Amino acid sequence: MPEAIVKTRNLTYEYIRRDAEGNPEGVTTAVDHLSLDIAPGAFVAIVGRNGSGKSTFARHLNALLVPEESAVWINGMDTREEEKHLDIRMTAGMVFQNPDNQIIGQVVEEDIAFGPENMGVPTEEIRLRVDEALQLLKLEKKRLDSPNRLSGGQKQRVSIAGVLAMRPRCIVLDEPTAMLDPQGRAEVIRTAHRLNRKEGITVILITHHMEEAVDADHIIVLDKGKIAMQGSPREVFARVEELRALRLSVPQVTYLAYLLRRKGLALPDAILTVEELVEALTV
Amino acid sequence: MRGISIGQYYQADSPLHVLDPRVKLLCTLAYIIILFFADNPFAYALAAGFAFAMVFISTVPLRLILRGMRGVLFLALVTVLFNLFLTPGEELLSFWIFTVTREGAEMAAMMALRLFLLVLASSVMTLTTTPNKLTDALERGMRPLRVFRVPVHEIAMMMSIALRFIPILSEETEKIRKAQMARGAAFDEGNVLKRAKSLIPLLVPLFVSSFRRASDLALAMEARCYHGGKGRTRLHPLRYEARDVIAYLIFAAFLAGMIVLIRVF
Repeated sequence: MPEAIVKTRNLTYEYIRRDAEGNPEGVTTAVDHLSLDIAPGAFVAIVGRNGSGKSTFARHLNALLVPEESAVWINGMDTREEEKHLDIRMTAGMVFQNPDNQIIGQVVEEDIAFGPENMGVPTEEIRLRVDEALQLLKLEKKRLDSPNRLSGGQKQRVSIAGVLAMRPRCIVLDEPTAMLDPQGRAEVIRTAHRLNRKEGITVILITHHMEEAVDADHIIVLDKGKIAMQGSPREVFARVEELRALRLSVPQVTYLAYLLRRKGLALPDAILTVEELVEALTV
Repeated sequence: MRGISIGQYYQADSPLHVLDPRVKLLCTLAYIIILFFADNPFAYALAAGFAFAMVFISTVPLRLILRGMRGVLFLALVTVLFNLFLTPGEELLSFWIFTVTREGAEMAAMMALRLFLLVLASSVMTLTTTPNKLTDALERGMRPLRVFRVPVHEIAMMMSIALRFIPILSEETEKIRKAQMARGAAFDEGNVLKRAKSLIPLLVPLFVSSFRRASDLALAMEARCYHGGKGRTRLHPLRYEARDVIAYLIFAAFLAGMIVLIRVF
């Protein structure tokens, strides 16, 4: 197995809860001794309900949060070493939830150029990278538009293009679809899969929509900062009761199959798509 | 909040549009300065002629420019009235407590013309230059100030972020306004004081959300390797071309003409 692109060992992050007057109330452990390895080229979904620590975890992958002890390595680089932060951010790009709050440029192509500009890439090379990112995300026609005139899904694609122009080996998407309509959500998830398959970029998708995790190679379920479950989508979605106990939904069709099986229908363990269910029922 | 026209850009394909923004910025600045030295009709005629020639070259409809100037009309009126009535000198006519002097009338006319040309020139500049290029030009133009530890890059970055967020925040203001109206807030009623007070439920949520946005944006910028202006390259670096040199020469000729006219008369 090649060396993990993301490696964490006993990653712990605590913060002090305060009441309205600012007096400490107690300590919350957002991430609790988390150890995991993500192989290059993988598509990993990290799911969990609000407050499960998934966003806090994501911020450690980009050295936006730094652990107190050595605990996170991105492509072998320890995130505690400050002089490596730029390298780490070039290796693991990050896309955030709200597209409006992460687009800096007033023109689509200028925003995409922002990362490479910061990295000091020569002008001709920036041009190449921007054109490539525009093409990969099918934004060529929007090149000179103002980001304000794009739909939510398009804006989020601009954000992804901006990260892509930095030529990262890994992209962390932190709830990229939370503010989008269903169409925009599908658009973003499709894009993430395409980049993973065609460009071989490692994708770490953080989400609380379980439907979005169905096509991942590997799902990690977080709860209270710990790994509650992990495995292939089929393995994870087979454990419907446990997921429901964690207040996570399963895809509708999986739940339907689960209910039918409980009523005595002979169905395989985890059904992930409508087609699979239709096939299982018609045999 | 609606109809903000700062840095309004008029898309067209004119020689002025393609000029390096530094040329336009510097020349506009010099034009405004020389305006304040102009003290005779000939100099004003030349300055006005030059400004209108620029309007013509820019292909921006004059109507559009004049409409954008309505905002300064009030300021111009106050200035003119003050000059008209408060300048001592040879009496022309007087009624009640007001006296108009010859010097006052001259001064008022000059001030009006000066203000008009000043706004005209700056409008031509902003109408032919995208806000982006303007901030770029400012960053480059202010570079010498770095010697005095002026954070030139940071100021330019702040300006361009502000420009990017104006439409977003004005949209948000509209949203909050409607939300508060739905709960019975009245924004258009009562006297000035009452109206000002009614803005509080509008401004407080707007402020809170702006701070959240700012902190999100800072994080996103950091994630994309932003670390100040050091070692930064540009997708569209500013480079002087032959046409920019020609523009400088034309402007220098105009400037020389102005100086001669101011000196001679």
